[in-house]
Amino acid sequence: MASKGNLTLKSCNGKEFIVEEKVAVMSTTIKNMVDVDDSFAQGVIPIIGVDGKILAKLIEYCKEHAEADEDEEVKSEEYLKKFDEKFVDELNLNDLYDLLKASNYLEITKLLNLLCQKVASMIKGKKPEEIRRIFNIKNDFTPEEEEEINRQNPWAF
Amino acid sequence: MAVETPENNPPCCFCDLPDDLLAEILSRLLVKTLCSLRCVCKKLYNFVSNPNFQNLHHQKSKKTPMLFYLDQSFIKRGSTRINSCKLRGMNLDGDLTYDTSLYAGDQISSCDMFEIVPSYSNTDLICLASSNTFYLCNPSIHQLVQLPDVVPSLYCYDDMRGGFGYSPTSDEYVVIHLTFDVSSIASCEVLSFSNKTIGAIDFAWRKFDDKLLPYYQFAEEWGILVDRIFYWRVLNEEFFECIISFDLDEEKFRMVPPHPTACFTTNSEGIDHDKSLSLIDLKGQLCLVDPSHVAQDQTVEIYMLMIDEKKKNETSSSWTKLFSFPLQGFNFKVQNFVPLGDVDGDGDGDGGFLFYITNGYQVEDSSEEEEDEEPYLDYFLSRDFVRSVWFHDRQNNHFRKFEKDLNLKVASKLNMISYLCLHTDNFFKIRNT
Repeated sequence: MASKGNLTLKSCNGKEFIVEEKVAVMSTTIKNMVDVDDSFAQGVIPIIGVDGKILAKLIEYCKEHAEADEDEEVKSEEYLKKFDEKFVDELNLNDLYDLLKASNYLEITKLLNLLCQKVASMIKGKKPEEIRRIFNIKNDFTPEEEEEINRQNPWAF
Repeated sequence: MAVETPENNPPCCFCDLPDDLLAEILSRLLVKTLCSLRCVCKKLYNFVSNPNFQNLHHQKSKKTPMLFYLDQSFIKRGSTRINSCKLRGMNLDGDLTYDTSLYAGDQISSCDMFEIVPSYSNTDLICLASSNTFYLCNPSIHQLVQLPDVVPSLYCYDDMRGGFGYSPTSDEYVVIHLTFDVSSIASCEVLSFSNKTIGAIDFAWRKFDDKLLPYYQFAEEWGILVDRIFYWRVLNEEFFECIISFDLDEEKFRMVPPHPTACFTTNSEGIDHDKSLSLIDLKGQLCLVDPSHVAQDQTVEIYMLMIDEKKKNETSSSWTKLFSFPLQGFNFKVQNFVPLGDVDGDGDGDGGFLFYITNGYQVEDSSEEEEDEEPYLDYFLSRDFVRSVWFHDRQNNHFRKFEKDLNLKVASKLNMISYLCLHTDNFFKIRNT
């Protein structure tokens, strides 16, 4: 049982995390649950569709940002920027997608923006073949279709 | 409890993400990048081609317009010199986003100089002008369309005059072209087309030969369109600055009541360009930017034309001061202030005002020896001024300088606006015949 001011979050594979309320309510979804129903604040909040590994990551992110919101001197804007960079750089593709979906579901806007920006920057400036290789995408066009698309494409390579 | 963990069913690609997330990611990319992303797979092709996604992308892009500028320099090709004209774009962080040669596809092959026809009401298309020819360009999709020939000016050295804009009421893009003879406006022609036109657009100029105004010396080449009315700054016989308008619906020229301080901006020798006024469309209203006091008190006054709704014409309207634009934060004297446009924010403090200023005279030694091989370009390259582009963040009342060095070699101090414009990244394709 979580002590006062703490919440217990439970992943879909049964892992429980005790976190400070200020960290958990970085998620708008959790904030709304706690605001509406007091019993959530006492008991265990199930986080549907998010496994322990991803939930741990989410909590790591929210903890840093919640602390930064509270005390700007210890965790400066610059510190957060570096943390964010390192955070997204260490993710593999599957974790990146899972975190995207989880932060979308839990409405952690800052993280969602960060992750979307990360994927966008991975796409930026790449040729179609490179995109296919990096993201493991199969080219499902026939040669004729591909030629036609390249013809329409004003920025064809 | 959900048992289907991501480990059991790994997504193979970002394009397998839910549509709302995919849209969120892709709407952050440039149209140029999205066009090449279409070649990756069918899913992405369909997603990027979907009008709903393109609309979302447009709405987002509006909040982060890019600054485009013309980079012109003459290069030798064989025995002739041609203008290697490039249209370059950069985002508000100063990163180069587009770099388009206007010779792509050999559509333009001349040694003419180009100007950007300024437009505040539209940032989707860029209108370019060069001796007796107009072009419409969407650099995002690499499209350049040449408009039909205009009535040639009577004097071969006359500048092109007219304007370009977008009318929200009729959902039309409008180009207007004027020519002059000794005593009056000799011809006025208008070309308009709508985004909603089904099938190919057949461009044609409509001519208005009667009801034209007596001659005024034009204070600048290009007017601005505020919904259905074009406005130009002109000088009357006493060198008094006035504004004339052309109503697209009534097809009539009119005089607009003069602005109270306008007389300070001109003298018998013509226009004092350092203090010249600018017209701008702010949220669908004609506004006048008056920097004539900037050297004294570092503020720029912005006036709005209040049109008498009952009489619905400009002669019964009057000017009201809208606000004073503060430039006190600058540690130098601002000599001139030219608005580039207003950017809508999304509530995160992104909204603001983009403008270019000339600050302080930098007195240099006599520069006669600098008459090198490009005298024409050097003439325009004013060494006496430091010019810079700034963004004013409305919410935080904070000024941010465009740090990147814009290669504005030929941007004259008189009408630098003609080489700079804002552009919204978008997929709009002109379906010309």
